[in-house]
Amino acid sequence: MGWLDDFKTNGEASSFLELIFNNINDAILVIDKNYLIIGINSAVEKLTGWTAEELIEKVKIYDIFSEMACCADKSCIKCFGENPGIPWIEMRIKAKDGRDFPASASYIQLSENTPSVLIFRAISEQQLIERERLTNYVIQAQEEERRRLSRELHDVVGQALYSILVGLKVISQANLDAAARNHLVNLQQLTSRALEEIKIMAVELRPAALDDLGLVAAIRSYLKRFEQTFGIESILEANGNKRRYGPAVETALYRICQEAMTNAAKYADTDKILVRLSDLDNKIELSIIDFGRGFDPDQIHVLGTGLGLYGMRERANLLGGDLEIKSESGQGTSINVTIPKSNGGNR
Amino acid sequence: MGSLQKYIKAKLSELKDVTATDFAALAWTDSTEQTIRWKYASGNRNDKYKRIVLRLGKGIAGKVLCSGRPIVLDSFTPQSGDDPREYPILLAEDLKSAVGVPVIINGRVMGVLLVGCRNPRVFNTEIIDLMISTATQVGVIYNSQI
Repeated sequence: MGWLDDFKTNGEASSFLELIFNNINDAILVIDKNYLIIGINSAVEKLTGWTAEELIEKVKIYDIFSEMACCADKSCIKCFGENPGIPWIEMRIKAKDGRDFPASASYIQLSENTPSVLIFRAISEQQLIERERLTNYVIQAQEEERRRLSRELHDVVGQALYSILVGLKVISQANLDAAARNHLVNLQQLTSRALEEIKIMAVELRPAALDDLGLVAAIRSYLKRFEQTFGIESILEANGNKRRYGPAVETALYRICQEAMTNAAKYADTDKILVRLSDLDNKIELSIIDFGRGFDPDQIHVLGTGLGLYGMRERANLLGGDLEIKSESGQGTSINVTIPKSNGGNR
Repeated sequence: MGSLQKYIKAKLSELKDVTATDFAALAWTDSTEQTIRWKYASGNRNDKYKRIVLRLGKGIAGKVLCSGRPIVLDSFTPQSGDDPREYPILLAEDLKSAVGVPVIINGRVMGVLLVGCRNPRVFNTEIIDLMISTATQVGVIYNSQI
């Protein structure tokens, strides 16, 4: 660090670094290999209300975490340990006065034998609200575009192909030689397959059933298509009144179901998936259960990018709900979503 | 159709042995449904193949259907961002490499003949040629019996 050479003595250089440590606004915690806090700077005291005496050598780092955005387990420190490549992780920190606040944290462990360092910066609630609005906006925009594309595919392209099929049928009634008739049959088959494909594309973008018939019907036909795609037996259990919910809720639950099942197809190696939708007095519960290889929740290693899971949880959180994952190695996995109903009962 | 079934199963099993692969299957157009499904398999781990409906352009079989030409996959390593709908049979049977060839009758692609391995593998031209000639044989027999 060339700029340190500007200081005339080592003593001056290290006291400059100490000055940074003590005065910076970001909270810095030094942690030993058993996750015990062994050093803090004054920003930690200012942000959390805990004093050095209360924390140092007394408290483990994860005891001041409230929840973490990336994991199945809400307060797992291993996320840091096993994913050192992640630059910043969002979490909530527990303050002394009992409230918790959102923060963005980063963690560094230089070697097995040196202490680790955790740095965090508070995120204002304002920023969180802004972000929620943005996420909401993006989700809405995406759904709108999908709806538009789906309709155009179906109504314009699909319609044109169907007209061609009708025309070909008329021609097939004419007197044709063998070669021409063979050619015609080929054309009919090609066009028919293309039309099928367009219909599937439209439905996969956004099923009309979701708008017209409701969540249960939409999930039911999604399961049928899923079964035909992956060969995984897919069963729907719908309990309760099976009535309709607001479009935001139905869309979110549908997309969560899609994402969860796609993950199962990719990673679970299961022969069967069960989807359970329960309409209860004060909430809606959706569970996606597979009977595949499962995973050990203590061995957190994020499958894929982890963003699918994050996206599912965000969708649930935006509606005031919650998402949890239960799994056991060799015992399959279940994803459970709960969405509260508003007081009117008609979310 | 008992004897047809026996013939095809025997043919698939033989193909599997000769090509030293783990899985062999034949997909055929269902005349009533206008869909193409895996009708017969040898070396399957489960019954998933029976429920799959092939889609144009999707997966190795879908691409064979679309192009009307053989497709070879030496090694399949799923990436985290991948769409699993792009490789249903590979997922269902845990295949890491595969060869698919079209079964063509009267200029029309009526089915797909596939062999696959549960580890990556190089397929030489001999194997591809064998697949193609087997596909022709199977096509003739299948077509004559229906």
